[in-house]
Amino acid sequence: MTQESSSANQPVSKPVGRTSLYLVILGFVMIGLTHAWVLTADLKEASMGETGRILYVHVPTAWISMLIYVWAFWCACAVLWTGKRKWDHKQEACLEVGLVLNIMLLFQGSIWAKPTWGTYWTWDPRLTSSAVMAISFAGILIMRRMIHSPDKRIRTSAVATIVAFINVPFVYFCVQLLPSIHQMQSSPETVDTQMAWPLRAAAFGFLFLGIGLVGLRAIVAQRRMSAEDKAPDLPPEPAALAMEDA
Amino acid sequence: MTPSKQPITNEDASSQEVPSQEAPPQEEVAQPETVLSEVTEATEQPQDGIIEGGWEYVVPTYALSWIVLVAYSWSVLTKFKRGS
Repeated sequence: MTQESSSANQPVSKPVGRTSLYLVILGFVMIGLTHAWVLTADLKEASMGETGRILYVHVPTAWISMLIYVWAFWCACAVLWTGKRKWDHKQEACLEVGLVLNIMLLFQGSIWAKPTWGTYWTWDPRLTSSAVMAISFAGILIMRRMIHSPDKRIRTSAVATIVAFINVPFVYFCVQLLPSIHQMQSSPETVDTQMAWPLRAAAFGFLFLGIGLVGLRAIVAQRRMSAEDKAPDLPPEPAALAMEDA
Repeated sequence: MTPSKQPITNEDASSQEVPSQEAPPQEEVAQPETVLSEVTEATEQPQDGIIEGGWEYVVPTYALSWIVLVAYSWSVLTKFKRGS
């Protein structure tokens, strides 16, 4: 791990940052156009009425949130396998972006549940495991703030991410394995063709936005690690680092 | 509730001869309908299960999602720009 300390001091690759920025812009444009389409077109669902339009924001959020958690799991394995810090930067970025989407997912689902199930929340396996997923990954991000030694922080959070990831496949498959009020997994094959294209477009928008945000956030994590190496006595809180920059 | 108080139709006049134990109790038949109506009222859905309207749920969902996405992206971009 120590031989990789120098990699944190390397200048940030500008093309990576620029590409990530373009992906964020592309993602927002695609999501914006798709949402304008689904909110104005005649896409009223047969049984759910207008509330069926929540599908085009809720399902892509779920897909990309879980995909980014898979990416975090991959980065955690790579950290432990190679010991390179660049994987830890990406892992931290994935955890944060995935968590934002996960929390957004819980709120969207809660609002959608009220007209369809008659309640904002129920202790259904899918809902409960999604909440556990958010809490566990949020806990890892909090834990990272509390461990000041970079090497210890990298290893501990990688192991914790792998452990927390065990829940992610369960979240996806629990609607098949356990009795659940939640519907089965949606995909372009399980919905009407009229609904499949906006669903795909929104999903790609969220994908580009997610990749772009992870790219930018990983660069921020790399800079923070570099600042820590220069001033190892400082705690890794951003406020402390901002004061140092000033 | 006694069997003699149950309505008897013209088609089934022979039911008068049926022993009283075979007739279903009136309270047991009515109970599921009562529960269904209570659930329907609680979920604000019509009897056929189709949700009418729903924009009051769609608009907050999209608004909340956009607020979260824009706010978080702005936060990441600010941190990224500050260091470049």
